[in-house]
Amino acid sequence: MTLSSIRRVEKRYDPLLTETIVVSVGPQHPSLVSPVQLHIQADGELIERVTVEQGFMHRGIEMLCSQRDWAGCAALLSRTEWLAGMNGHFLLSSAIEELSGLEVPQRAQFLRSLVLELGRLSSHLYWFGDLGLEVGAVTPVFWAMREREPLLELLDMLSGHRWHGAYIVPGGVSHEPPAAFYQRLRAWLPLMRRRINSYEEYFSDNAIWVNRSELIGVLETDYAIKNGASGPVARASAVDCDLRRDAPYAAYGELSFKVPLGEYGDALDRFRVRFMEMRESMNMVEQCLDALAGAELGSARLVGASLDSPSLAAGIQGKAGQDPPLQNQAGQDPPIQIPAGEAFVSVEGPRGELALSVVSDGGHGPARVHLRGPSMYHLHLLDELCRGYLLADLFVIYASLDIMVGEADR
Amino acid sequence: MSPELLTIIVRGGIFTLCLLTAFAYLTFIERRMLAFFTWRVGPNRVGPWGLFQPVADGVKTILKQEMVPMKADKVLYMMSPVIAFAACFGMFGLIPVGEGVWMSNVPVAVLLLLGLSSLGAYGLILAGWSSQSRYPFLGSLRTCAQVISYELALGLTLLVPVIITGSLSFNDIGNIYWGPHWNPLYLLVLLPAGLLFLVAACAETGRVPFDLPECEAEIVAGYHTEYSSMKYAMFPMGEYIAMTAFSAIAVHMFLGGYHLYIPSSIDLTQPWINISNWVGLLVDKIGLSGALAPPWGPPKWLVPEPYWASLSLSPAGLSTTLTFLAKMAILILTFMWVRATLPRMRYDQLMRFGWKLMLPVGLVLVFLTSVLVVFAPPAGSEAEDDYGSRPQPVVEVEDVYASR
Repeated sequence: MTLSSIRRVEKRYDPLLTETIVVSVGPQHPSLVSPVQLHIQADGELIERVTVEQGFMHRGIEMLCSQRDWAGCAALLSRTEWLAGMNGHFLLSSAIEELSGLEVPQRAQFLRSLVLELGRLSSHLYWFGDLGLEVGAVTPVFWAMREREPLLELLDMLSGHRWHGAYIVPGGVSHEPPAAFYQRLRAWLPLMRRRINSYEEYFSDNAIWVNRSELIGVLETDYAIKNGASGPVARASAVDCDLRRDAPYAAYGELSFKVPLGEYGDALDRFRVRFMEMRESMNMVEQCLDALAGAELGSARLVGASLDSPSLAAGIQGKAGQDPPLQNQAGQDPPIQIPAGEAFVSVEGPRGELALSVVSDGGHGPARVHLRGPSMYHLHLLDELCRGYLLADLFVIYASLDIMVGEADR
Repeated sequence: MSPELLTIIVRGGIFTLCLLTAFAYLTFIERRMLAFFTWRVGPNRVGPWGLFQPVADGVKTILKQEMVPMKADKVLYMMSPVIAFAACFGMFGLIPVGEGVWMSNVPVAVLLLLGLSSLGAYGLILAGWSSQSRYPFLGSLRTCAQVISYELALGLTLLVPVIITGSLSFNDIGNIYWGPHWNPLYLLVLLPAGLLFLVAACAETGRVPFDLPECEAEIVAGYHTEYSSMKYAMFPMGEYIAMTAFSAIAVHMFLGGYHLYIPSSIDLTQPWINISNWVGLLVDKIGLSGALAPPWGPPKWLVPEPYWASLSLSPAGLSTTLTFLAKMAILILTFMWVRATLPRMRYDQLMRFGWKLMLPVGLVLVFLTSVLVVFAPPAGSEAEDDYGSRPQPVVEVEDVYASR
């Protein structure tokens, strides 16, 4: 007898021949932030089947990418998973580096790891606020937004944009961060550590939340592997996978961190795993800061690396007057060629494995782009996860999967 | 027109006006409170400190377009907001808010109240049923189950003070901590009963963490999803008034009603001094009793003499009303605080909590109370009535039946 079958209610013989109803949730619904439609076949409140209808947020990003130059492609990719937009920039930059055989300096690698972890923190903070709303607690979302604000300001300092800053560019990062960035980040970390603890306690000490998430939406290990779950969702189901450790990119090979695993794969485990991940992220940010402050790691960007696309070159210019001078003035360097070829890069995003496959024909932009996002896979786990649970559980499960519809629809 | 009838009409008008204002400003206060808990400012645009926000909300709600679902059962659909609203308003007609300040002094007020609060549930159930839509349907199913299961616990907790005082009239029950009913042992049952009552009242009025009938994350707005304009506004109105009414009942049942006591000594048999009439005491202290002690009321030339007495407010009435409102405010703010703090329970957990925990605890409390009343009877039950300024109930239960 598996764990999930203990909890789930099986359909009983029904002498009254009651009909099941189909409740259609979305695309406009108070608890769905981004549009997706769920057709829930329910016997009263008991869910028998969930059919996911998606495509309401399809923007044709892959097609658009193949019609744009490399800079436009980066901007589009960062808008697929917008809560951690730096992942898109990182994916495209490392694909370009793979295509043209660029070696990224060590300092840039650490800065990339730092920014990617900040993105993860920002995304997880947003998730935890949303989780509160789904279970009817109105306050956590404001905590989450309050903690996210300084984080976004830090990202704004780096690149001039709070969400989609093109800080990670081919050949490194666009420029060395200002000194104030390091100071503010260092001041923010201990505060955040304390607050993360109290936020986790708010949930995990609360009998109502624990009752609502314990053994709810159990995702079994085999099922998770078979159906392509990744990221915190897979790790909560005890699938020991993390690209940062298994296939290190950026500076993750030199950082020490734990990969938190769950035990039962229920909503509570997914919640715990994400909170543990946030702590690990803060540890990694601290390690990056130490490394950046210490040894000489080279420049923040490959000298001489620039792209033939003028818009990307313009985009990486920092704000004049505030930032330290750019190490290489855009437009002055000889443009590098992006040779024809194929590249496949993947990154452990906040929601799971994000992968990008790029085909270049040697022109101004990619010939073909394909993105693999975790949300698509997680969205279609819903049917399996929700069967036999109550309608109220669906929204807890949905929130615990942390699905970003924009990334699933693309 | 007899003075009694006129009194009821005028007082009814005053009560209704006060309640409507109270509802409007409760929404405002709740929004400001929630804002305070979440580091926001809250509504502060309309008028000074946003004080006219409720007015603006009201105007907006009235001017909204009315939409009736095509398949809805029109009669029930129109009726149900009225039922919900009227039942909650009716509850307040039975609750005295101060000495002599009431719309009606019914000797069986507690029973009537329970009846009215059940009637209000019909409004919510019918609203969901008649809308012919899925979300309201689920919402009304939940309401139905929730109200039935928590009504039981609610009634049982109300029985505790009723057994102790042997009365169903709020004016008597308010004296529970003072006078002939007092026995320190009663705290053993009154305290848990009070807490249980607050929880059950939360569920009965559909407040967080029991706001399942209208939980927005799951079933959009529950039973009133298909309502718009003023018909919609009557549901929240009823809900807020019910919250106020249940706070008032809790004050009467478990917080000493409109009386105010201060501890006098460690003598457990009679530890309290009654200072309910603190305005009168204050006026006496300042030495203005000659000028201020008589009751206040409308100008004598406006109201003929036989009517005047019933429309005036004595110092005792004023001070007890203020005391009552202050106690009520504490409870209402607690409800709001809970809303900012707790997540929502799940439907089946709610039912389990109601039937498997609250109901047995309520039953045990009623049993304990009965035992206590037999083995530790009210302290002064045999003694003469020498409790100083204890306010006498205006209508004795026996009197009412004798006069018919």
